[in-house]
Amino acid sequence: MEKKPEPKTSGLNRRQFVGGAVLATSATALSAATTAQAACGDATGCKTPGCDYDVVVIGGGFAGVTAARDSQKNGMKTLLLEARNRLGGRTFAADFEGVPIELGGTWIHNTQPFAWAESQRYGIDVVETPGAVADVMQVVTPDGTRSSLSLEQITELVMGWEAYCAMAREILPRPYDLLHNRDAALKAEKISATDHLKSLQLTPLQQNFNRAMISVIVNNHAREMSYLEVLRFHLLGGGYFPTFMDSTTRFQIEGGTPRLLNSILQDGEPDTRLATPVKSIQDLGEKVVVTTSRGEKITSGAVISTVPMNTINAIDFQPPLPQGVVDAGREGHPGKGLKVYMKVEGDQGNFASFGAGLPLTYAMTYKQGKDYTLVVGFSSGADELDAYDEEAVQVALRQHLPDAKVVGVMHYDWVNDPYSRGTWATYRTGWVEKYYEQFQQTSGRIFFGSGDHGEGWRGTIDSAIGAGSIAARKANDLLS
Amino acid sequence: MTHHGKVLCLFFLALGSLNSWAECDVEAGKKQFNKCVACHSVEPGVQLMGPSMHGLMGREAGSMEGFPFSEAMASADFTWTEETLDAFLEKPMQYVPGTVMPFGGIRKAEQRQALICYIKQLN
Repeated sequence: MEKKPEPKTSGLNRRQFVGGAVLATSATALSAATTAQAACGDATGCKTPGCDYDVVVIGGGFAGVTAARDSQKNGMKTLLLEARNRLGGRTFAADFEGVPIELGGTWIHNTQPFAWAESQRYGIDVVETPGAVADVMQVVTPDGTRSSLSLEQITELVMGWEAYCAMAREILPRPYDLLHNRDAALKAEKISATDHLKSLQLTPLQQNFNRAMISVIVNNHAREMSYLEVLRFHLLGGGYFPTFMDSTTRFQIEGGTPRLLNSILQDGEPDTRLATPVKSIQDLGEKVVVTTSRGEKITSGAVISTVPMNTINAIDFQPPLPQGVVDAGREGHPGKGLKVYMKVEGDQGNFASFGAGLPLTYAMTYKQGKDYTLVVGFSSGADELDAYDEEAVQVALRQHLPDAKVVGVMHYDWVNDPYSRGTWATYRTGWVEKYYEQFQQTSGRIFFGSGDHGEGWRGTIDSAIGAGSIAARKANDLLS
Repeated sequence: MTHHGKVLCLFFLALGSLNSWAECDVEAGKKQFNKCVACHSVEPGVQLMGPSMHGLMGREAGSMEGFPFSEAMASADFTWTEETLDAFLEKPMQYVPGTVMPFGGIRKAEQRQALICYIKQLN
């Protein structure tokens, strides 16, 4: 049996210190003084007197990596701290028996200004997800009836979606400015997505498809999100059904999300440390002190927190976070669902299948192999589907593909991950009035740049990049 | 069954008890390992988000040198055996409260057994 290694107490050079995971087991032995010296050995490296860094960014997803790049390029000595032993946040590329997949955030689109700009800037192309432009479109009813849709039925379905979103332009004339038509927006955000659906005279097909589509957007039961949020997605996706569909699931980053993430990171080259959870962030007025879970203290002129909404209460903020941010974090955004990859025997064709109220509300072709099909599916949550059980997954998929033989399953448990506690963020009913202004607040030297609070495409790779870049600009304004 | 057949059969039974891993289904276990593979390599010394599973059996929990275990796993006081791994895989976050391994748990015993079978033969 191996023995636990003895903690090292010395011998770390600066490179090792900022190098991340390699030293994490020995980090407990580092005193605050050692940390400060190691991190900021060159006294002229910081603009902020007496600090280890000008900017410390908490969280190494797309928001944090972007904030760190921009801060470093703004001439700020920048440290990026990540709790997990990898970068990427709620994006995570993996290999499923030789096929590259994305266990988290996947898709970008030319209607998404921040993500698209970054992919263009670094010369990164996209590849298509077949199921977004499927040969066969199918709707499954709760009683198990499957209908492969004819052209007329697809038209009916599109008309039903457009009917649901008919008031979108009036309620949200500027989707990046949620309260531009304040009264109308506040009224719409009090209505749940399903209550608006029930108020409409739609065909069963339209009802079923809309409810399934809304479940996919919220990554939970459709009732957990406000009607306003559906309108926001619809309008950002062009306010037109085909572009809206394309914007959610069509274009993947060629080479995977890490390619874009690493391009951003390498452009800025901030110091980066992995496996370093943060315990507290104290704004002392003249500087900010970040204390890691291992007790190291790092001082800086500003902190950018990109910590997800559902985990922010794990960090002790001084001064305390606005009460609305605390409350929203406790309540949790509704992104609590599952994204499951299923390897199925044989060529199942290029299909997309919707089924409101089923364990898998949406399933589509992710890749067609010679003798297999990789299907990606979404579920409203672990109460609907045990994604750890291949047999349960096969039963769920057979509601969409009756003869499917599932030979492999992969998913990532974002809800149980202590550093995400959920998937992507949308707002529950009433949240805009209760919390929205507090989500937008900055506090002294602490700036918030999580995509969960971003404007526009909130909850996507795009909004993470946008929120990170905006927070970096604000920190730069303070320190310059 | 012929006499030779009986002898052969007994031979394999004896072999099976000597090499208990041979009784279990490594291929089924490899499929189960799809639940782990995003974060765990089976190659020695390859650390991904989680530590390598090579040589796990018999190792003290949270002991692989150079890997940044959570405080909870680093201070856990048990050794990886078939029994502890089975209990852990069923409810990881209850078995080691505070572990940062994001894994809800495998409810079906036979699926856990297949996975353990695969991990065991990595030693």
